[in-house]
Amino acid sequence: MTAAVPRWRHAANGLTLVGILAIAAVVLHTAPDRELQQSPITVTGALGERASGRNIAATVQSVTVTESVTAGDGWAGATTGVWVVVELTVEAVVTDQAAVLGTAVLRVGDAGFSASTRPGPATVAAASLATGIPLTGPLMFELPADVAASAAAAHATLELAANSDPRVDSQIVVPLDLTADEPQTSIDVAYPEWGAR
Amino acid sequence: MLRPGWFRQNRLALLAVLVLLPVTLGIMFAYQWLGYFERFPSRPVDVATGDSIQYGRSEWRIDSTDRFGADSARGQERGLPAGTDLIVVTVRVVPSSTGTDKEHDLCTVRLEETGGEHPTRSWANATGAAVPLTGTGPDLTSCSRELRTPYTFDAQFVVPADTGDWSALTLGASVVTELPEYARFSLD
Repeated sequence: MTAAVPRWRHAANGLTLVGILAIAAVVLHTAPDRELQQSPITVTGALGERASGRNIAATVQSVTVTESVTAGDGWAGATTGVWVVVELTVEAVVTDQAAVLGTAVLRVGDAGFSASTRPGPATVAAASLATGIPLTGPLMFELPADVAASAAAAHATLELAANSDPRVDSQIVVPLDLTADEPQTSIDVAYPEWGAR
Repeated sequence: MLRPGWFRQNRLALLAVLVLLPVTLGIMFAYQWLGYFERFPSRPVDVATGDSIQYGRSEWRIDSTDRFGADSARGQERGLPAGTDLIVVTVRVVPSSTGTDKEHDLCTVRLEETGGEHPTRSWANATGAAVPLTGTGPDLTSCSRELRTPYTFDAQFVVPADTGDWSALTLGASVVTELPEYARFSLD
């Protein structure tokens, strides 16, 4: 026969159990979910300033909304909307292995627009990057005209990453105001160029 | 709170937890990470300047290292972008005279910069890298599977002009069959 367990010990065990459950609840509700665990590591940049992440550094020089654009190799693509042309300089920071400008997305409100690959090598979209050697050239985005003129366009963001899947890696995010200047009728942009300018 | 002797009564279970928990974590770590590092050149075998090494089915040695600026005649001929240099590393390879072509080494060479103000940086052989070169390049820019006699190849790297100013440059040569080990040659 063992001695009866005193009441205070029942109460203490109950309190301990409640405490453990409370801690577990806090951990459960504050732990990052899978999406957050794998989300890109954002590096916020600004127009005209260099932003640098783990293996990508970029400087956005300008952004222009235009009805038509002619690339450095003479390519001119028709669009039913407008072109948003972003001039930037981009490079890999530590390695050129698998370093490609695979993520170049313009976000306006809830909508995301990938950089057009229609101009081929006349843009830096999907271009291979070199370690420490800047590549300067345009990114071209096709947007519906009403989206480019919407209120959300004043708070657009450009997302850049050195691969097509930027999860758990650096992603440069540059806020852009697409409504700051009047849309152009047409512009010419230079062919992408390697090296310091 | 606890009855006297509780730890003694449960010592075997507690001991099992103390042993099994780190063992489980160790196995998970080894499974997740060691296998990952085995798949790429992650274990360098250092080779001093001028020395040779038997690696894979060949003997390797650095014969010379040359460097050209973008403004030099050679740099302009190769179309180097402004602010870059071309580093050419001549590697001497003495392959084993036996074995089929498939058994011989196809290699990957990379230039690596360590120390200095930058984090460790590396560059691929210009043949497969992003920056295009113009003009006449060397005949052989990487290993050969066909050659059975000693030969040299010229690995070329387009790098920023400040590369190696305050840091050490090494050439890493790897062959798939020897991974994760790779030969890491110090350059002048």
